[in-house]
Formats: sequence, structure tokens, C-alpha cells
Amino acid sequence: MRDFFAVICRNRRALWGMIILGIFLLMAVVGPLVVPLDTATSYANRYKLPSWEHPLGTDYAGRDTFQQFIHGSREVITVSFVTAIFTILFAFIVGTTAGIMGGKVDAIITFITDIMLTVPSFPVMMILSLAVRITDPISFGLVLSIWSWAGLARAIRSQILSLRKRDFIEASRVLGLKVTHIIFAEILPNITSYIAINFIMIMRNAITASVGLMVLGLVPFSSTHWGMMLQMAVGASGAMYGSSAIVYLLVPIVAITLFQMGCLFFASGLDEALNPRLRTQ
Amino acid sequence: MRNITVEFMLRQGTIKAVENVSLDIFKGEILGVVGESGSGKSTLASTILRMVSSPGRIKEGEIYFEGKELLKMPEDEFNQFRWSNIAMVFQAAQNALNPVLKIKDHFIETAKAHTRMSENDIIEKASKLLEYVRLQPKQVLDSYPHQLSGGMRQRVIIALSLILDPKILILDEPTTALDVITQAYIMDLLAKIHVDLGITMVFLTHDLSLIAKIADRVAVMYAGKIVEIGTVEEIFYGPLHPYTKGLVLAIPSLVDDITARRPIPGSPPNMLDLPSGCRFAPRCGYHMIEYCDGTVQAELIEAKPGHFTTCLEWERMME
Amino acid sequence: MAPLLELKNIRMIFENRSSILSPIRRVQAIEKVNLEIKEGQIYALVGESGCGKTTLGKVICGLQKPTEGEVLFNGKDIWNLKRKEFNDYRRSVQLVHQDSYAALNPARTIYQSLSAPLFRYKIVKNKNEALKFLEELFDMVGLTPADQFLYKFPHQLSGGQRQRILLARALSIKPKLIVADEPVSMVDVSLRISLLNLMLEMNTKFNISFVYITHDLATARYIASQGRVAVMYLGKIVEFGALDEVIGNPKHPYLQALLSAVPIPDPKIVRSMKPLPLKSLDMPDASNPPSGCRFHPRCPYGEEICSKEIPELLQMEGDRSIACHLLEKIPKWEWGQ
Repeated sequence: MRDFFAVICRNRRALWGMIILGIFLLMAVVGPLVVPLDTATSYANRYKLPSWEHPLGTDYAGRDTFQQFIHGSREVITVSFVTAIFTILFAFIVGTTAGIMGGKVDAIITFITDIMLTVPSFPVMMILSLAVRITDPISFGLVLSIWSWAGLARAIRSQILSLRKRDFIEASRVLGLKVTHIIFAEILPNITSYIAINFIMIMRNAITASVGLMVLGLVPFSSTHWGMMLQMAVGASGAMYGSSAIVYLLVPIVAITLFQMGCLFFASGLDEALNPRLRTQ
Repeated sequence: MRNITVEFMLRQGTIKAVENVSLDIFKGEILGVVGESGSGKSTLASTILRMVSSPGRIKEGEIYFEGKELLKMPEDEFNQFRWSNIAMVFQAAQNALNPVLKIKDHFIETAKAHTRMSENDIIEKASKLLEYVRLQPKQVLDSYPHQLSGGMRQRVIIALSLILDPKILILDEPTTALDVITQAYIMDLLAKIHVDLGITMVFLTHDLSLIAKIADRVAVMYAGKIVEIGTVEEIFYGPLHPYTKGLVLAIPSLVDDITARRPIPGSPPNMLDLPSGCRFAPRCGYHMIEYCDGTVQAELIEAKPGHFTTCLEWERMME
Repeated sequence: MAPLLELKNIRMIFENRSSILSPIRRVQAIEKVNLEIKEGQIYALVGESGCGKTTLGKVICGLQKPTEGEVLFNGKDIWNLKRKEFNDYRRSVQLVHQDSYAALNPARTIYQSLSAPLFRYKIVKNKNEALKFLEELFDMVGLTPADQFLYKFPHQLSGGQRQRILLARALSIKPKLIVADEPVSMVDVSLRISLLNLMLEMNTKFNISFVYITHDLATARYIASQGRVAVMYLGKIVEFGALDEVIGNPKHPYLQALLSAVPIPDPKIVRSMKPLPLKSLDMPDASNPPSGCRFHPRCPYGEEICSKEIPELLQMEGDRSIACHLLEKIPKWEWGQ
């Protein structure tokens, strides 16, 4: 653990990534407990520019943007996190089964993943969000993950296929070690960095996908989610045309961009931090 | 070669792969350079051709050849000079052939880069060389590398190195990955080339038995320095450095007395953390605390005419 | 005494094709091999690349199921054993790889890698016992102090150290037979003897049989000087017997050619050796082996029968067997002829 943080700190970009993500995490967990959400509308106050009272201005109904932003962050992070967990779980189970069992099972799984990969995921997500009633971040995460695990499953499968042939796995077989041990204690540690990096990237994609769906008005379950804020900003406030609503528009966009940057930067240091071979000590 | 030092700058520190090495190569001889991993012999060979790959760089030293100083020559002049005067057969060279080019294109490209020979002349010369190495020119020239066996590819590489009639041929482990019978054949071929063409050869290997077979003089390297230079008989029958003596004792053969074999104790040198005095001291049986552990790097002493060693205890070794 | 492990009429054919449209390439990696491995004996399996020695090693370890033939452990075919008996076999036959870096899990410390089999076979109950066991084991293989090695990752150690760790790992579950596939070819020359000495020590101390696979006749002679040697060519054993007898009086032309070609680290001797003239330098393609005796296209003594019939491995006196039709006609081979 200590080595992990030491490596991250040495890599400037990764360190910044970790700090940014840390801030978002803090915001999501602690924020809503600290910052109240005042949903009272006050049309007289709308589109106010940032001031001491309203640090990020107000929205089309006079509500404080900052409060919404903080509250929305919790949902945004939750959805991304849930998506990543489901995706990785499915991908790991499917990919490992295909890689270890080989033969017909592998052929069938590969066929299915091939189909899933050729169909573009965003339209599928759009259709799914119409068909399924999404009422909370967890079901939202589930919907987002249904069509996104195929690529990772294939990648995990090829990692496993190549690891299977390695001498140290052969040695494990000769030593008589059990199959469960080989999968979880020998193979898995070699793909953790791969999975961790993918985890971060999936979170990043999940934000984009969730925001995209909300901007299109397909998932109207929460009003504080940044995607919702964007949708309101664009749809209800004509923010792209007016100047005073610009802050309301920019806030979610800048936040999303920062979050994605945080993900990218952190991921760049993750490979070295988790892969003992790459460390030069 | 005089005072050659080649450094590799790594994150953990700087490695002096070759440190303050001076070596003479005489015309028409076969010089064997013996060293295990970390000895610096491959780096030394790349230095002659100015092909040290980064993060390595030649820190200091001079190489004199026919009155010219090679390390100071301008880049394009040296590119012309290289291969037509000094050629090299690399380690695992069989894999150095371009898989998408036919063999004849390899010859054509190489020759055209250095001379103005016409394509026909190049093919004619290449054919002669391929016959010389007992390959069928018609069949081989039109083949791709993967269509030839390892032994055939190695012979192609040797022929390729001779296309411009170089004066010096450097061979870095030219027979690894070849089977024993092919290896013996290639060694005989090299000896034949040496006699017929009078070409000077520098043969680098860790395999002492190959050195015994082909070399006239031998330089032994350890941890980036040359520790002994002598004729092949002197090195095998009367070594004056404990490492050389240890090497000869540690290698089993088909005819030796098995019970007389002794390994060299200790482990190979850690190039990041070398002892300040003699680098072989931690493993040496003739080790004397006063001067072997000192801070002065030993230089080559001419113990007997033509026989050099860095060991200060060489007289004890003669007993 | 019944052999520990016996290979009977082993045949190994690999089939592969580069694409669905190209024809299937059948490579006969092993052709009718019979071998008896006795307890406590050392066997050198010698041959050049492509002769099938590595594949045979894998067949012995149960990693490769032979296309035909039986692998008998304590008299029973390992591919027909029940779970418990198969586990016994697994524990008794171990493998040391050639590439010590590839044979260790790069993402696990040495302790993690070596303690796994100890826990699996319940040789130790907890971490303390495992540490104690490994300390003693490492002491035995010359890796002291043990804690300098246990908590490191494979890439932090030298090749020679890793190779000793591979041997320690194989020894930790107290096997009866260790197959070592070129264990010293990637180790510095000055250290090879010490590793070979270690294996010899394990053989005398614990009566462990060794099958030492190599292309290097000199190290084979060093380790199996009191044992047996099997010389392989293109999937067949062509000569077998006590090592000093076989090397001292080689009968098969391929072995004679091999011995003429091995360089000796002694200038006076090696410069007087002449190679045996072979008709062709190149090894035939394993997917298209010559008819009859596989060596006949290269053999200087070949006659008609050699291209028609495959010679059987015939036993002469005692252990000694040779696979050659023209046995009486092959001249005696002398050193430095």
C-alpha cells in the first residue's frame, strides 16, 4: 500500500489526478451533508451571476447553482461507480470463463461479444432507458453497464489466454495447485493494473454516457444530477444564447471535464503503481 | 582503442558498462573477447561501430584505425566508412534480417548504401559469397528469411557482412541459437574465411571452448574492464588473473576430469554497486586485503611480453 | 526393481494449421519412445532443438497427453488415475523450467509463490511454519539469508538466484522425480557448476531421480556421469546407455557427429578435432520427416535399408541400446580423429 502511494506521488500527473478525484469524492460524500439544498423557487433571483451568497450564481428558477452542483455530484459519482463495478464484474466473469474453459464455451461467448461490439452502445442505452424505468443511481448504473462490458470481457479473455501459456502457470499446474487458486492467486494479480485502469476509464465513460442521456431528456429522475443541470441549461434556459445563464451551463461542463482529466491523469500512474515490474526500485 | 568509457544513465543510477578500456587489435589476427553477462563486451563492440543504443553514450576515449580517429569523424563520413571497413555480425543476427525483403534485396540495399556498384555486380558478388559459405545462390537470393533455416540465415548474415570487403569483422556471439553441428560448421567456415581473405576478426563470446578453437589472442572482460590479455595458450594453460583461471576451472567439457571442476563463488557483479578496488575481489581466492580492496582501479600490467593482467597478485598465480 | 516412471510406446503428434484454408500440418514430435526411469537415478536427455526432448519432458510431467502410448507411474497410466492417485503422482513429479524469470509469477513475491504449494498440500499450517520451512529450504539450496530473497519480486533477483528458487520450489513438496529442462543454459557459465552440484547433492541426499534435458553434452556428462544418457534425434531415441560408456564409445553415427562437433575448452585438443562429414548440414523439417531411419539423408554410412525401414532401438549388453541398421558396420569413433 505504502509503495502504491509512493509511486503515485512521484508521478506528477498521477498525483494531480488523485487529488482531483479525491476532491470530487469528498464533495460527493461529505458535500450534501454540509451544504443544504434549498429548492424554493425565486424567479426574481434567476440567472444571477456568482456572488458571495450564491458562489456559482442561480439557475432559471432562482435556485442556488452551487447547492445543486454539490448535491448532484453525489449522484454522478455513484452512477459512475456503480456502472464501473457492474461492468467489471460481468466482464471478469465472462472473460475468465471464456479464457479458462476454452472450446465451445469460448466460441459461444466470443460470438456473443462480437455481436455486442458491433452494435453501437449509446443508441442501445437510449433504447434501454426508454424501456426500463430508471429511478435511482443503481438501476441507472445497471442500464449503463449492460452494453459496455463486451470490450473489456474480450480484453480480459485475451490476457488470460496469453497468461495461461506462461511458464509460471505451467509450473503451478505441475505443482498441483487448484484451479481456483490459479485463477485468483496467480492470474488475477497480473491483471489488476489492467482492471484498475479500466475501472477509472469506465467511470469516465459513464459520466459522459449518463450526461448524454440526461441532456436528451431520457432519464429524468433527478434534478440535481449535472446532466440534468445541463439539460435545463440548454433546454429551459437557452443558456447557449443568453449571457447571464452561462455560468449555469458552464458549471456542469467544467466539472465533467475536470473529472475526466482527473481520471486520465490518475490512470496514467496506476499502471506503474500496481505493476511491481515497472517500478524501478 | 584507448581509454574507452561508455555510460548508461538509468533512473537508479549510472552504469559504466565499459570503463577505461584500452585494447589493440593487430592486423590479420583473430582476437577473442570473453565475458559473461555484465562484462561489457557487447557494448565495447557497439562502440567501435558507434552504435551504442541509448540511454548509453560514449563518455570518452579514442579509436584509431589506419591513421583516423573514428569517434571524432563526422556522422555522414562515418556512415560511409562503417561496413566497408569494419563490419559486424550481431548476436541472434538471424533475426536481424528484414522479414519482408528477399535476401537479394538485403545485399543490394547494403551495397548501394556504401558504394556505386550496379545491381548486377552486387548480385554477382553476393552469389560468389553465398557459394563460399556453401549456400545455393539461385535458391537463396530469391528467398525470404523465414524460408531459410537458422543455420542458413546465419551464413547469409556472414556473407552479407563480407559484401564490401571489410578489413575488420566483429562477431558478437555468432553461433547462439544454432545447433552443435551447425555451430561447428560455422566456426570452421570462419577459420577458412580468415585464412583465405586475411581478414582481421574480433570474436565475442561467453563460451570459452569457441575461443579455444578459433582465437589467436584473447581479452578477458569482467564488470566493464579488461582483466587479462594474452595468447590463447597463455590464457588456457597459464592464466595470470584469478577470474580467467576461475573460468577455465568452472567449465565442464567432454574430456575433462569432472572432479576437478570448481565454480566461481559469489554472484555476478551488480553494476550499480561496484566495489571500489578490484571488481573481482569479492569472489577471488587470491584476494589480499591491502591492495585488492583499495580505492585505486587496477590498470593492465605487462607481466610478460604481450601478456597483460590487472591482477596485482599475478606472480602468485604462476606457481 | 520396478521403475518409478515408465514411458511405453509414446507417440506425440501435433496438428496445426495456419488458417482454415491451409492443410493440416502434422508434426511428429515424438515417435515410439520407451524409457524407464528408476528411483534415485540421473538421466540426461540430450538432443538438439526440434528433437522432441522438451515435449518428452512435458509428457513425463503430465503436462502433455501423448497421442499414443502410456505414461506409467507406479505401474498405472497417469491419464487413467483417480483423483487421489493422480494427486500423488503430481506431488512426485516436478519440473524446473529453463527460463527462471518466466517460471515465477512476476506479480507475486517469492514467499507468496513458494508458500502456495506448502499450504495446498498442508505441509505447513500457518505463516510462521511456512517461513521456518522456507528458511531451512533456502539454506539447503544456498540462498542465505532467506529473508533477503523471500520478500522480493522475481525481477529483483539475478538469474542464478532465481534458478535456485525454482529448484527449491520443486524440492519443497518432496518429489521423487525432477525434470529439469535446460536449467543452466540461461545462467552465467561460471555459476553453472554450482547449480549442477546442487542437483547432484539433492540426488544423493534425498534419492530424487533427475531427468536432465539439454543440448549441451558437456554439462550432461557432468551431471549424469554416474547415470544414463538418451540421445534423441527428430523424435526418436537413437542411443541409450550408461553415460560414460556411451560417450566413451559412441555407436550411432549421429552421436559420433555430435561428439566431433562439440568444442572443447582446450586449444591443443580442439584444434586437432575433425568433424564427421555429414551429407547435409540442415535438420529435416519435423512435419515432413525422412522415410525409414530419420537420419539417413545426412548419414555418411547410409545404405538402402536405411531409407526404407525405421530402425528399432535394439538392446545390446545390459542397458545399452542403439537404433541403427548398420550397427556392425559403423567404425569405432576415436577422440581427435
